[in-house]
Amino acid sequence: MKRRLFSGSTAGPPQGLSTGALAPMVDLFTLLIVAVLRTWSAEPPLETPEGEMQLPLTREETPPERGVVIDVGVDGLYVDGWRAGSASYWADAEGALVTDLYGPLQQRAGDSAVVRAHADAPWRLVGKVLLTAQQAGFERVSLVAESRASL
Amino acid sequence: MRRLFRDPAQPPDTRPAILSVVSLMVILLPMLLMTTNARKLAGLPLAVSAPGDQLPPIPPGPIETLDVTLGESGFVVRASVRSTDVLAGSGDVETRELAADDLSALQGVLRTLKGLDSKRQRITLVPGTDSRAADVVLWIDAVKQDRHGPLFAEVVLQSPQVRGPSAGTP
Repeated sequence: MKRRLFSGSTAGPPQGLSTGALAPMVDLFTLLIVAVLRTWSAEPPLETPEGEMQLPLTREETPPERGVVIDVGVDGLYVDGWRAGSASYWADAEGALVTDLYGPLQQRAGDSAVVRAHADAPWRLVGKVLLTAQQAGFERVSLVAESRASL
Repeated sequence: MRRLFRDPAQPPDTRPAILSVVSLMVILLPMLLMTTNARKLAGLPLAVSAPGDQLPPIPPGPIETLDVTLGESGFVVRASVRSTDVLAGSGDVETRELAADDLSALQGVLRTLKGLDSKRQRITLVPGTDSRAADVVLWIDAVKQDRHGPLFAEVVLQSPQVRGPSAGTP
Protein backbone atom coordinates (compact mmCIF):
# COMPACT_ATOMS: atom_id res chain seq x y z
CA MET A 1 0.00 0.00 0.00
CA LYS A 2 1.40 3.33 -0.95
CA ARG A 3 1.42 6.04 1.67
CA ARG A 4 0.68 9.54 0.57
CA LEU A 5 3.02 12.21 1.87
CA PHE A 6 0.95 15.17 0.84
CA SER A 7 -2.70 14.65 1.19
CA GLY A 8 -5.11 17.00 -0.46
CA SER A 9 -7.65 19.09 1.26
CA THR A 10 -9.95 16.95 3.39
CA ALA A 11 -13.63 17.40 3.07
CA GLY A 12 -14.32 15.98 6.57
CA PRO A 13 -14.54 17.84 9.86
CA PRO A 14 -11.57 20.01 10.91
CA GLN A 15 -9.04 18.16 13.04
CA GLY A 16 -7.71 19.46 16.39
CA LEU A 17 -9.67 22.28 17.97
CA SER A 18 -13.31 21.46 17.49
CA THR A 19 -16.43 23.06 18.89
CA GLY A 20 -17.33 19.84 20.67
CA ALA A 21 -14.04 19.90 22.57
CA LEU A 22 -14.42 23.52 23.64
CA ALA A 23 -17.98 23.29 24.92
CA PRO A 24 -17.16 21.35 28.15
CA MET A 25 -14.37 23.82 28.87
CA VAL A 26 -16.77 26.75 28.57
CA ASP A 27 -19.25 24.91 30.83
CA LEU A 28 -16.55 24.28 33.41
CA PHE A 29 -15.40 27.90 33.41
CA THR A 30 -18.97 29.11 33.69
CA LEU A 31 -19.57 26.88 36.72
CA LEU A 32 -16.32 28.02 38.33
CA ILE A 33 -17.10 31.69 37.81
CA VAL A 34 -20.62 31.27 39.20
CA ALA A 35 -19.20 29.45 42.23
CA VAL A 36 -16.60 32.16 42.81
CA LEU A 37 -19.15 34.96 42.39
CA ARG A 38 -21.53 33.14 44.75
CA THR A 39 -18.94 33.15 47.49
CA TRP A 40 -17.41 36.45 46.55
CA SER A 41 -16.70 38.79 49.38
CA ALA A 42 -15.43 42.32 49.13
CA GLU A 43 -14.32 42.21 52.74
CA PRO A 44 -10.59 42.18 53.34
CA PRO A 45 -9.16 38.99 54.84
CA LEU A 46 -10.07 38.58 58.48
CA GLU A 47 -7.33 39.80 60.75
CA THR A 48 -7.75 39.22 64.43
CA PRO A 49 -5.49 40.22 67.29
CA GLU A 50 -4.93 36.61 68.31
CA GLY A 51 -4.07 35.36 64.85
CA GLU A 52 -6.29 32.70 63.37
CA MET A 53 -9.73 32.89 64.93
CA GLN A 54 -12.38 30.31 64.22
CA LEU A 55 -15.70 32.07 63.85
CA PRO A 56 -19.10 30.40 64.29
CA LEU A 57 -20.81 29.20 61.12
CA THR A 58 -24.13 30.61 60.01
CA ARG A 59 -26.61 30.33 57.17
CA GLU A 60 -26.88 34.11 56.98
CA GLU A 61 -25.20 35.88 54.10
CA THR A 62 -25.81 39.53 54.97
CA PRO A 63 -22.41 41.21 55.26
CA PRO A 64 -21.60 42.66 58.66
CA GLU A 65 -21.99 46.36 59.25
CA ARG A 66 -19.05 48.62 59.71
CA GLY A 67 -18.44 49.84 63.20
CA VAL A 68 -16.37 49.37 66.29
CA VAL A 69 -14.89 45.87 66.27
CA ILE A 70 -14.88 43.92 69.51
CA ASP A 71 -12.95 40.65 69.46
CA VAL A 72 -13.63 37.92 71.98
CA GLY A 73 -10.67 35.63 71.66
CA VAL A 74 -9.48 32.63 73.59
CA ASP A 75 -7.09 34.73 75.61
CA GLY A 76 -8.38 38.28 75.68
CA LEU A 77 -10.94 40.91 74.78
CA TYR A 78 -10.02 43.54 72.22
CA VAL A 79 -11.53 46.80 71.01
CA ASP A 80 -10.45 47.76 67.49
CA GLY A 81 -7.44 45.50 67.91
CA TRP A 82 -6.31 46.87 71.28
CA ARG A 83 -6.37 44.52 74.22
CA ALA A 84 -8.87 45.62 76.83
CA GLY A 85 -9.12 42.70 79.22
CA SER A 86 -8.72 39.04 79.96
CA ALA A 87 -11.26 36.61 78.52
CA SER A 88 -10.94 34.02 81.26
CA TYR A 89 -11.32 36.62 84.01
CA TRP A 90 -14.42 38.21 82.58
CA ALA A 91 -15.97 34.86 81.74
CA ASP A 92 -16.10 34.03 85.42
CA ALA A 93 -16.44 37.51 86.86
CA GLU A 94 -19.59 38.55 88.63
CA GLY A 95 -21.78 41.20 87.11
CA ALA A 96 -23.31 41.42 83.68
CA LEU A 97 -21.08 44.20 82.37
CA VAL A 98 -17.44 44.01 81.32
CA THR A 99 -16.10 47.22 82.75
CA ASP A 100 -12.76 46.82 80.98
CA LEU A 101 -14.63 47.15 77.70
CA TYR A 102 -17.14 49.74 78.84
CA GLY A 103 -14.62 52.60 79.06
CA PRO A 104 -12.93 52.08 75.67
CA LEU A 105 -16.31 51.59 74.02
CA GLN A 106 -17.66 54.83 75.41
CA GLN A 107 -14.72 56.66 73.88
CA ARG A 108 -15.61 55.38 70.42
CA ALA A 109 -17.99 57.30 68.24
CA GLY A 110 -20.76 55.70 66.25
CA ASP A 111 -23.78 53.63 66.96
CA SER A 112 -22.75 50.31 65.46
CA ALA A 113 -20.58 47.62 67.00
CA VAL A 114 -19.66 44.22 65.65
CA VAL A 115 -18.59 41.40 67.93
CA ARG A 116 -16.28 38.73 66.55
CA ALA A 117 -16.29 35.87 68.98
CA HIS A 118 -14.30 32.68 68.78
CA ALA A 119 -16.54 29.71 68.07
CA ASP A 120 -15.59 28.11 71.39
CA ALA A 121 -16.01 31.26 73.46
CA PRO A 122 -18.48 30.67 76.29
CA TRP A 123 -21.83 32.39 76.01
CA ARG A 124 -21.50 33.73 79.56
CA LEU A 125 -18.68 35.88 78.20
CA VAL A 126 -20.08 36.70 74.76
CA GLY A 127 -23.41 37.68 76.28
CA LYS A 128 -21.71 40.04 78.68
CA VAL A 129 -19.74 41.62 75.84
CA LEU A 130 -22.90 42.12 73.77
CA LEU A 131 -24.71 43.64 76.71
CA THR A 132 -21.76 45.89 77.52
CA ALA A 133 -21.67 47.18 73.95
CA GLN A 134 -25.36 47.93 74.11
CA GLN A 135 -25.05 49.66 77.47
CA ALA A 136 -22.12 51.72 76.16
CA GLY A 137 -24.45 53.38 73.70
CA PHE A 138 -24.20 51.25 70.59
CA GLU A 139 -27.70 50.89 69.23
CA ARG A 140 -26.85 48.32 66.60
CA VAL A 141 -24.87 45.37 67.86
CA SER A 142 -24.24 42.38 65.65
CA LEU A 143 -22.38 39.13 65.97
CA VAL A 144 -20.03 38.24 63.14
CA ALA A 145 -20.04 34.69 61.87
CA GLU A 146 -18.65 32.89 58.87
CA SER A 147 -21.21 32.18 56.19
CA ARG A 148 -21.66 28.59 55.14
CA ALA A 149 -21.47 29.86 51.57
CA SER A 150 -17.72 30.39 52.03
CA LEU A 151 -15.44 28.40 49.79
CA MET B 1 -26.25 34.25 -15.43
CA ARG B 2 -27.91 33.00 -12.30
CA ARG B 3 -27.29 29.44 -11.26
CA LEU B 4 -30.26 27.31 -10.49
CA PHE B 5 -28.39 24.83 -8.32
CA ARG B 6 -25.84 26.11 -5.82
CA ASP B 7 -23.32 24.17 -3.83
CA PRO B 8 -24.42 23.53 -0.25
CA ALA B 9 -23.25 26.45 1.96
CA GLN B 10 -20.63 25.69 4.62
CA PRO B 11 -21.81 26.31 8.22
CA PRO B 12 -20.14 29.30 9.85
CA ASP B 13 -17.09 28.49 11.94
CA THR B 14 -18.03 29.09 15.61
CA ARG B 15 -14.63 28.27 17.03
CA PRO B 16 -13.34 31.86 17.12
CA ALA B 17 -16.37 32.96 19.14
CA ILE B 18 -15.98 30.15 21.66
CA LEU B 19 -12.24 30.70 21.87
CA SER B 20 -12.79 34.33 22.75
CA VAL B 21 -15.15 33.29 25.59
CA VAL B 22 -12.60 30.79 26.86
CA SER B 23 -9.84 33.39 26.71
CA LEU B 24 -11.96 35.86 28.65
CA MET B 25 -12.67 33.30 31.33
CA VAL B 26 -9.02 32.27 31.53
CA ILE B 27 -8.23 35.89 32.36
CA LEU B 28 -11.26 36.52 34.58
CA LEU B 29 -11.10 33.43 36.74
CA PRO B 30 -7.55 33.85 38.13
CA MET B 31 -8.28 37.53 38.72
CA LEU B 32 -11.39 36.66 40.72
CA LEU B 33 -9.59 33.95 42.64
CA MET B 34 -6.75 36.31 43.51
CA THR B 35 -8.87 39.26 44.54
CA THR B 36 -11.68 37.56 46.42
CA ASN B 37 -11.77 36.37 49.96
CA ALA B 38 -12.56 32.71 50.52
CA ARG B 39 -14.15 33.46 53.91
CA LYS B 40 -17.47 35.18 53.53
CA LEU B 41 -18.48 36.89 56.73
CA ALA B 42 -22.03 37.54 57.78
CA GLY B 43 -23.47 39.79 60.44
CA LEU B 44 -26.21 38.67 62.80
CA PRO B 45 -28.00 41.73 64.15
CA LEU B 46 -28.99 41.01 67.71
CA ALA B 47 -30.79 42.57 70.62
CA VAL B 48 -29.53 41.72 74.06
CA SER B 49 -31.59 42.05 77.18
CA ALA B 50 -30.61 41.76 80.78
CA PRO B 51 -32.85 39.51 82.88
CA GLY B 52 -35.94 41.49 83.80
CA ASP B 53 -35.52 44.08 81.07
CA GLN B 54 -38.69 45.38 79.47
CA LEU B 55 -38.55 44.98 75.72
CA PRO B 56 -40.19 47.40 73.29
CA PRO B 57 -43.81 46.54 72.55
CA ILE B 58 -44.64 44.43 69.56
CA PRO B 59 -47.85 44.26 67.53
CA PRO B 60 -50.50 42.46 69.54
CA GLY B 61 -51.12 38.83 68.73
CA PRO B 62 -52.28 35.64 70.41
CA ILE B 63 -48.76 34.94 71.73
CA GLU B 64 -47.63 37.47 74.31
CA THR B 65 -44.21 36.08 75.21
CA LEU B 66 -42.08 33.42 73.59
CA ASP B 67 -38.87 32.17 75.17
CA VAL B 68 -36.58 29.29 74.33
CA THR B 69 -34.38 28.09 77.18
CA LEU B 70 -31.62 25.55 76.94
CA GLY B 71 -32.36 22.94 79.57
CA GLU B 72 -30.47 19.90 80.74
CA SER B 73 -32.22 17.54 78.35
CA GLY B 74 -32.82 19.84 75.43
CA PHE B 75 -34.82 22.97 74.78
CA VAL B 76 -37.81 24.27 76.69
CA VAL B 77 -40.17 26.58 74.83
CA ARG B 78 -42.30 28.81 77.05
CA ALA B 79 -45.13 30.62 75.34
CA SER B 80 -47.76 32.80 76.95
CA VAL B 81 -50.78 32.39 74.72
CA ARG B 82 -53.84 34.54 75.13
CA SER B 83 -56.81 32.38 75.90
CA THR B 84 -59.36 32.19 73.13
CA ASP B 85 -61.91 30.23 75.16
CA VAL B 86 -65.32 31.93 75.09
CA LEU B 87 -65.62 31.37 78.83
CA ALA B 88 -62.23 32.90 79.58
CA GLY B 89 -62.05 36.36 81.06
CA SER B 90 -60.53 39.31 79.31
CA GLY B 91 -56.74 39.17 79.34
CA ASP B 92 -56.50 35.56 80.44
CA VAL B 93 -53.17 34.13 79.42
CA GLU B 94 -52.27 30.48 79.31
CA THR B 95 -48.59 29.62 79.73
CA ARG B 96 -47.46 26.57 77.83
CA GLU B 97 -44.18 24.76 78.29
CA LEU B 98 -43.13 22.57 75.43
CA ALA B 99 -40.01 20.44 75.43
CA ALA B 100 -37.86 19.75 72.39
CA ASP B 101 -35.01 17.29 72.41
CA ASP B 102 -33.09 18.64 69.45
CA LEU B 103 -33.10 21.42 66.90
CA SER B 104 -35.49 19.74 64.49
CA ALA B 105 -37.98 19.13 67.30
CA LEU B 106 -37.54 22.75 68.38
CA GLN B 107 -38.30 23.90 64.86
CA GLY B 108 -41.41 21.73 64.86
CA VAL B 109 -42.66 23.34 68.08
CA LEU B 110 -41.89 26.82 66.78
CA ARG B 111 -43.64 26.07 63.51
CA THR B 112 -46.77 25.13 65.48
CA LEU B 113 -46.56 28.38 67.45
CA LYS B 114 -45.96 30.32 64.25
CA GLY B 115 -49.23 28.86 63.01
CA LEU B 116 -50.97 30.34 66.07
CA ASP B 117 -49.49 33.80 65.56
CA SER B 118 -48.17 34.19 62.06
CA LYS B 119 -47.32 37.88 62.49
CA ARG B 120 -45.10 37.41 65.50
CA GLN B 121 -41.43 37.98 64.69
CA ARG B 122 -39.77 38.20 68.10
CA ILE B 123 -38.35 35.32 70.07
CA THR B 124 -36.12 35.35 73.13
CA LEU B 125 -33.28 32.86 73.41
CA VAL B 126 -31.82 32.02 76.79
CA PRO B 127 -28.63 30.05 76.20
CA GLY B 128 -26.93 28.19 79.00
CA THR B 129 -23.95 29.81 80.63
CA ASP B 130 -21.73 27.05 79.31
CA SER B 131 -23.05 27.22 75.76
CA ARG B 132 -20.49 27.99 73.11
CA ALA B 133 -20.83 30.93 70.72
CA ALA B 134 -21.00 28.48 67.80
CA ASP B 135 -23.98 26.71 69.39
CA VAL B 136 -25.80 29.98 70.00
CA VAL B 137 -25.35 30.99 66.36
CA LEU B 138 -26.66 27.57 65.31
CA TRP B 139 -29.79 28.09 67.45
CA ILE B 140 -30.27 31.58 66.06
CA ASP B 141 -30.26 30.11 62.56
CA ALA B 142 -32.68 27.39 63.64
CA VAL B 143 -35.26 29.75 65.15
CA LYS B 144 -35.10 32.14 62.21
CA GLN B 145 -35.92 29.66 59.50
CA ASP B 146 -36.81 26.04 59.01
CA ARG B 147 -37.31 24.05 55.83
CA HIS B 148 -40.88 25.33 55.49
CA GLY B 149 -39.91 28.98 55.54
CA PRO B 150 -39.17 31.85 57.90
CA LEU B 151 -40.01 31.51 61.58
CA PHE B 152 -39.06 34.30 63.96
CA ALA B 153 -36.71 36.84 62.45
CA GLU B 154 -36.17 39.08 65.47
CA VAL B 155 -33.99 37.26 67.96
CA VAL B 156 -33.43 38.66 71.43
CA LEU B 157 -30.65 37.04 73.40
CA GLN B 158 -30.92 37.15 77.12
CA SER B 159 -27.64 37.93 78.77
CA PRO B 160 -26.34 35.48 81.33
CA GLN B 161 -27.61 35.65 84.86
CA VAL B 162 -25.43 37.41 87.34
CA ARG B 163 -23.34 34.86 89.17
CA GLY B 164 -21.83 34.96 92.58
CA PRO B 165 -18.28 36.21 93.12
CA SER B 166 -15.98 33.56 91.75
CA ALA B 167 -13.65 35.63 89.67
CA GLY B 168 -9.93 35.35 89.59
CA THR B 169 -7.60 38.15 88.66
CA PRO B 170 -7.12 39.50 85.19
